Amino acid sequence: MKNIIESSFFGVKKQLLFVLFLSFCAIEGQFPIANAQIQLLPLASRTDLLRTNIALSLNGVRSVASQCFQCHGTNGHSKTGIPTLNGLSDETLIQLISARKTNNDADDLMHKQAGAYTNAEIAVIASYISSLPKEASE
Amino acid sequence: MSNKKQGLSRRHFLQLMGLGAGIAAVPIITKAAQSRPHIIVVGGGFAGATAAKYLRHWSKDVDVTLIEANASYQSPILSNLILNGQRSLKQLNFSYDKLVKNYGVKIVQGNVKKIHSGKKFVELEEGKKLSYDRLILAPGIQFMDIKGLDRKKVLHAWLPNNEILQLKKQVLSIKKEGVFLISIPKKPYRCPPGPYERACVVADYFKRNKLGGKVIVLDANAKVTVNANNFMRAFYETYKDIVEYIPQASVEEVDSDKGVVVTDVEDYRADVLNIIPPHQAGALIHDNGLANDKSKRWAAVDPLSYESTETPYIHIIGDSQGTGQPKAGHIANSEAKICADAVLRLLSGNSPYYFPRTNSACYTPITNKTATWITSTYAYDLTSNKMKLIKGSNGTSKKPTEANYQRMYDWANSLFGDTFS
Repeated sequence: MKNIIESSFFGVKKQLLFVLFLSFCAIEGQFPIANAQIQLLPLASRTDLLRTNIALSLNGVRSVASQCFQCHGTNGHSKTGIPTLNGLSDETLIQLISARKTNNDADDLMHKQAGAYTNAEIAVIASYISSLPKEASE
Repeated sequence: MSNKKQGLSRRHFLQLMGLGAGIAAVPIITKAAQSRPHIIVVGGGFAGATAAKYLRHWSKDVDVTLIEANASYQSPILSNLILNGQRSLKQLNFSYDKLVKNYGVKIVQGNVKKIHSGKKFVELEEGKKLSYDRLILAPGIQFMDIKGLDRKKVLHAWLPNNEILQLKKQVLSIKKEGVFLISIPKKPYRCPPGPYERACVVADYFKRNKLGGKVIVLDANAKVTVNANNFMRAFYETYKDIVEYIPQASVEEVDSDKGVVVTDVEDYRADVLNIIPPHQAGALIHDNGLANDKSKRWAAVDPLSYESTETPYIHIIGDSQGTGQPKAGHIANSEAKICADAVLRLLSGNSPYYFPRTNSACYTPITNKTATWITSTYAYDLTSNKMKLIKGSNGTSKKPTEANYQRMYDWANSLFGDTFS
């Protein structure tokens, strides 16, 4: 048990170093950052930018963006009354999600969901979803 | 230059990460690895089915086998609406055919007898052996014993089966001035709003049919565990003449023939008892020594990958895991995606993604026309190594509305779709 904890701490350190290296590369323009999208939004902090770059460069965004699919359908193809996200441009997605984040309607579940993500994360999620294939699985 | 000893090739790695297309310009100098990774998922509920689907959705370079005891899944989500006739058993039944057809998941119907974690294979009850590179367990919950409780006579209707139909028959048999009693175990239990929702659905039936009578809600917890504003208003306003809500009442003994419940407060009698016993992780977790959290009821896991802290290469998702996140279908689907992504990364020699998010959401009927919602989002916290509630992300609807009743069907149907098709 103790070994597992220690080794996971070691993993954390390694990961952090890797993260710092990657973000350095990203700032240097080596990674596909959604610069245009990010500039549409006020950046909360430098950490946000790092997260954004890492997410994109490691495809980590898949894990985060798929959290939308419980309600909006796999790859954003909704088959119910909940809006389809697939096929929308990243700019449109950012505007839609940001609007729900800002607009405090007490009966809006999406207001609470959108509020859980930083502006930079929303930009990355939007960028990912807008890049997905347009065909639905069925 | 052989790459065999170096593990997976760069191309294989990129394919696993789903990055192959974007970096096609990188010259491929190594051959793909010879054997394809095999992932076994055990349990085809919201957690297991989602994991199996998304592993194949994100990578065609792995083989996925889903082992499940039943031919199809009977969803507990929306099943309280079977009680008021708004949903049928069939509408809430999902086959695994689309996971096979759309994603190439292999289905094996059967029960796992034993996990051989040293040699990395599972042994099925019929004797068949299947080896794995990574094993994902999603066996849900099992109940703990209550003295005198005969589960054939006193129903829980809290597992993915057709017991809710039997409970419906019992409810319909209640005569004027009759009494229905539902008991709620201490947290954590599956589907936090579920028991309160069921109390509302039954009270609504009493009210609409002018039965008089009582719906007794025995809660082992100090107060309503979730969506308290809406449920308390329902109990003390909407159903004030029907519902009797009793907090801090833990069921100690049941007389299954006489319909009497003994609690640490007092004894209660009812025409129909609906006792939901305390839960623990599924038998598969306990039988294989994986229930290692503090309470010894749930499986402790790394929240970045859902890998067991006890046994390597075994991941546990859904209601059996002990991260402290709610136990419910929506967030089980959420965890399954984090786990599937982490497993693909680990198989390609990488680390799990470091900033996972999970979310929980649920629509809950209060009457046969109105519903409420609850939601919360969780983020990984580096300092505590836990998934923590994001401040301000949790909330409930202000009040039950008819619009929310329609959204409830959209929410559930979307979740069913993202999980089973």
